Amino acid sequence: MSEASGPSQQIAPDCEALLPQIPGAGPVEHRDDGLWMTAPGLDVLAMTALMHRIGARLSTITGLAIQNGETAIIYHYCLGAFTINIRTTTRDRAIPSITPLNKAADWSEREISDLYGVAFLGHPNPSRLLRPPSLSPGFFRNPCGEVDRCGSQSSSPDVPAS
Amino acid sequence: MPYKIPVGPFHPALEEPYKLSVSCQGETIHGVSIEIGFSFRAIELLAQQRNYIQGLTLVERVCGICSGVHTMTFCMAAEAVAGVDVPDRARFLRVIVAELERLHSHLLWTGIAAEDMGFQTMFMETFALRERVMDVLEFVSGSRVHYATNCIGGVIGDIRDADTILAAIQDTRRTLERDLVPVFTESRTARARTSGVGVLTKERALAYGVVGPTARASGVEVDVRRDLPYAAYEELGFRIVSAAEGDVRARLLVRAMEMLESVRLIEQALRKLPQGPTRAEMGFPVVAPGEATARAEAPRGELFYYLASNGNDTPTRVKIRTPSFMNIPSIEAMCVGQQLADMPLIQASVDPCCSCTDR
Repeated sequence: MSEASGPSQQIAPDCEALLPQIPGAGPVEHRDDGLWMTAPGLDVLAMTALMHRIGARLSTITGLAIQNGETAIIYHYCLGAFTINIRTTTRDRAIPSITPLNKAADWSEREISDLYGVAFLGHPNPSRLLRPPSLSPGFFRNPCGEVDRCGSQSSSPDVPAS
Repeated sequence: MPYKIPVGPFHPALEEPYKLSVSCQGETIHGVSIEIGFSFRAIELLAQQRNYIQGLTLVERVCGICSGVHTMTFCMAAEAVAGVDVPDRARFLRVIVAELERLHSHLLWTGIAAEDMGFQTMFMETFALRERVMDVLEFVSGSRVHYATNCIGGVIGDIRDADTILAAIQDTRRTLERDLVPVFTESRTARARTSGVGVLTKERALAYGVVGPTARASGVEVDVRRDLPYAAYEELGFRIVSAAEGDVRARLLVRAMEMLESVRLIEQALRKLPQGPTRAEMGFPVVAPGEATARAEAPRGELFYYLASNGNDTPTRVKIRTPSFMNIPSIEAMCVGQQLADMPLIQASVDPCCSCTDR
């Protein structure tokens, strides 16, 4: 049992200098809530390896529906007081899974797959997380897709049925 | 002959619905697989269809235990996008409600842990004390569960009788120091039932990305109150509590000591409560186009919000990652090699909140 006080002793590395080294990296922006990088063609496996190397903890992954059925994916990492937010985009509604390299991504990827219809390639257990398998994935992209507000049946224009 | 036992989604061992499929050989657990989604309400989606004031009411319903930290973190994210500064008095008031909430959440958990240990006397003692904390929350906010104290730019309402609250909190501290903490930290019953049970090693804790008391009991010292102080935690000198053993006993000890730290923080906040306004003058919140993240330490660990705005009165994206979402998967690692009879206590030791997890 131990009790410690004072600020985190963890020394943050120069993330701003390291992030551009990831293949497909984009511009890095310093905001009040941490570092932000937007990189549509990012090598997410290389990103995962770098974050592991610097000791960053994956806090969560956010999905945002964008046009043409694609989804913006934001990886939120924490390193002491730092938050590192890395935004990329699915390609043909798919993106490599980082779960084989980082188990903490498991449920976050399954949730985005379930709610946005994204295929995480190489995920060890790509089963539905929140909604029953009998329902189409992509509920957050098109919440009226299965039964619209008028009560008629329609299928999602963006997401193929499972 | 190996066999499999389905536990849940509705089962006497579980406080909320989720499903554990437990594979056993004899009395020893070989593996556990977990299913969630039985309380899925699509709250993130609903929050994207409501204005910020309606959204506050909604996100408070993510959880019936840590409701206050949800509104606080939602407000912190909106305030970050809007560039609003929260007045000093509001920052202290937020800490008081957040720590009262942690106190009643940890007391709820210790009561459930006592019951799962077969320690009924402590269950009754713990829940009696929790009622007193709930009374204080009702005195502060008017509500026992959904306090509705936070708004974008500060807090709603104020504390006018700090002395009454201080007296009740000091009484709570005396009961904790005299009865609850010694029993949970020293009694042979608690020790025998929890030592070496459900171990989550530091390496596994890091791999699963667990947060809160579950992480701190495995030697992973993460606490947003220390790592990225918000509200008034920096002024109040927060002290992190951790343990290295990673078993159910360590999770019990960490929560027991955290209750004392919560009481200390509430006492300090009440004594140092600055004068002044409790909210920024802004009327109906106008949140400019932009995006931001916010982190706060809920009773079960780091709560994470991502909020995006296009400048309208309704957010375009609200992402909520609750601590139980990260902690529940680690039950798989805790249970392997353990006795089947210990499974209810092991899963409870994470303090799993399915309402939070499913949203």
